[in-house]
Amino acid sequence: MSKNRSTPDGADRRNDDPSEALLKELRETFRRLSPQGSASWNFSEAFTRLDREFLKRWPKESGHAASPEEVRVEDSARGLQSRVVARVQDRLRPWVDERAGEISSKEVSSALDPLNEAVGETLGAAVDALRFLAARVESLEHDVERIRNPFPISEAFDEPYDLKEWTSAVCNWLRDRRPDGVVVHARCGTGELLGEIQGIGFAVEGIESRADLAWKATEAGIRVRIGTIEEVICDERHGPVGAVILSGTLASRPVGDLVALVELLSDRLTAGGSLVVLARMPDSLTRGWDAVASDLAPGRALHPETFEFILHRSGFSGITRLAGDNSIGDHDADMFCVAGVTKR
Amino acid sequence: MIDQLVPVLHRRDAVGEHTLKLRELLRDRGVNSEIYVEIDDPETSKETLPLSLLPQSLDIDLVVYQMSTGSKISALLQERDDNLVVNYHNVTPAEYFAPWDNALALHQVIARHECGLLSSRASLAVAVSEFNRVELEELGYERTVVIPPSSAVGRSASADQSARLTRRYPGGDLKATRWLSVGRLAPNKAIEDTMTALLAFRIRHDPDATLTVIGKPAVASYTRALKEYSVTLGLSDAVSFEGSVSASKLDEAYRLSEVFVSTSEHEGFCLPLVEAMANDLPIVGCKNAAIPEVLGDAGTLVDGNDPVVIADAVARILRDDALWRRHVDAGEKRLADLDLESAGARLVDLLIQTAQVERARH
Repeated sequence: MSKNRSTPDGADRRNDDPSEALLKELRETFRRLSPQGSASWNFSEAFTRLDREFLKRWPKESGHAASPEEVRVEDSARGLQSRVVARVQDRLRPWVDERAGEISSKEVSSALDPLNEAVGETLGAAVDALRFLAARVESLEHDVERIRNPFPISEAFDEPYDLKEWTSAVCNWLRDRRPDGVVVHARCGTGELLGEIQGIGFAVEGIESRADLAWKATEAGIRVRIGTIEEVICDERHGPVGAVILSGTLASRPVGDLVALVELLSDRLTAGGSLVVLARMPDSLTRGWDAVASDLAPGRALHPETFEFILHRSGFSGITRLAGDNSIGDHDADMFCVAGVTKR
Repeated sequence: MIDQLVPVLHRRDAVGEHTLKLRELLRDRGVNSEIYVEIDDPETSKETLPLSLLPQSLDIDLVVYQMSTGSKISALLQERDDNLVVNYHNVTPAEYFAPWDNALALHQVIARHECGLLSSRASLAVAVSEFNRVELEELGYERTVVIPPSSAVGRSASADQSARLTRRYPGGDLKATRWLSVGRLAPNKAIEDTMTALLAFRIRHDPDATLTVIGKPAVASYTRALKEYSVTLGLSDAVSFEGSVSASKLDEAYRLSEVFVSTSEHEGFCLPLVEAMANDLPIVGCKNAAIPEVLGDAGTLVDGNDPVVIADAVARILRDDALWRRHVDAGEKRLADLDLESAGARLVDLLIQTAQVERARH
């Protein structure tokens, strides 16, 4: 848990305070909402630095207007490229022509000034070109995001599931297979299921998109990341993942994304690793949701047979439908649980 | 004649209100004064003249450039021979805008560059805070002085006096505590940190606490992210984004709130602090830029932006009658120390004096 930090009045923070890691997660979560997606990978920051260096070196003589309105995303790339080339050629050609036949050491010295100027112009054109590219990419990214997910808040309607009924089944599955690596639960809510899994000796990590729930999970001693399963599983710094439990995030995903996710997990889980899917039956999925939430849910609910098919096609084996504590029959239940292991 | 140049004159904007107030004070002293703008704002058209009508340098005793952003005005002043005073309101560093809007970031780079270029042209630079004055020195200005924005006089004096008289200690029982944040929705304001602190406050102290965010959206992508972030934090019903509001709505927000929280990382002055003090509203702020200078001891200053520390600081003030009273009284004293009532007059005196000196020199 967190080390003690002093308040302005010198009082120490409580022992059950959220860890520094969670606060870092929150900051990174917000940064991911920026058009560039991350503070550590940032188009615009590079341009800003380039602009600053450029203006520092060629403050007046470059003639680089660097006006934001100069670059419009409507400009065609071909037109811009032509202009860049034309500017460079226009700048250099007279100088080369004039100097070609009469160059001397003295001339070389005096020629450095116009050369600097030409370099400044060239840099200016390059900055313009890159800026155009960045603006275009940002614009396209925004368009794609709007098409894929016109109402990004729709996932918020999908509350984490109550998984008490499935705790024994999931714990038994993991205990029997002993996957090698941390057990990750995507959409872990306040972390009850992971708490039980941690209790039987597994290293666990939660992923939760809602920070208030993540905060409560950390207070219960669960390490939680705020974001998506893809961001965690694709993070090269992350250690081996032995098992992934998916719950609650499925209804907010288009089927194509879901298939891609299962394929990704098949590839990234350690050998003999487990994938456990906890999902709602299609006819019960939107029960209790209001009309808006039902309409905005971008995903289409899938039957357990379909999940079994997707897992099988993605390379999982030993695919099993687990029974919950109160299960009566497959078709009477609101939820189901499908699990499988990687073949490798 | 002392004329002012400003890129665009907005109402309900610190620079805009300052410019209007300064013209009023100059005219009260019998000085002819006009405001020239590069871009016309329909709401203030009757108050301004286009830059193209700016008289010859010889016909103006002094030109005051209200500088806070990049503008063609800088290039124009480079070409002219005016007696120039730069009134600097701060240019937010480009780094804050870079992840959100490349064009705005570039604009800030250019603005700062322009400000530096004018250093050799200006006979005087007026900063609204010591924090800004140091920046001016770094940009090459030799003669600098600090005078707070004259619009702060009107804004602090307009605080509802009945509210001052009737505001009482809200009591130690934290129930649906109302937080207030005022300022442009710009990345340097770090409003996301205020929201995270509210989450901490709801978890630790008051599950029904709310936050009202008042301010004009300055960067579309940042505003969008704040709204998405409120959903991520589970605060979509607890945080309300009111946008830019009328003076009466703003007064009402100050009156109805119980604490003012600023987690801003970069401020040249931070006028809302003055407004909060004038409304007897306790303040919790982060120790950044000009905030400590303006706030003095009239609030709780927090190192860094730890949401738990901010949340606990808010709870401590609201739970402790004596501490709450100390904060409110310190705010009143701090307002007196800032001497905002005389700020406008001091600036006018200085401008008239500078105009006379420069005229004598020529």
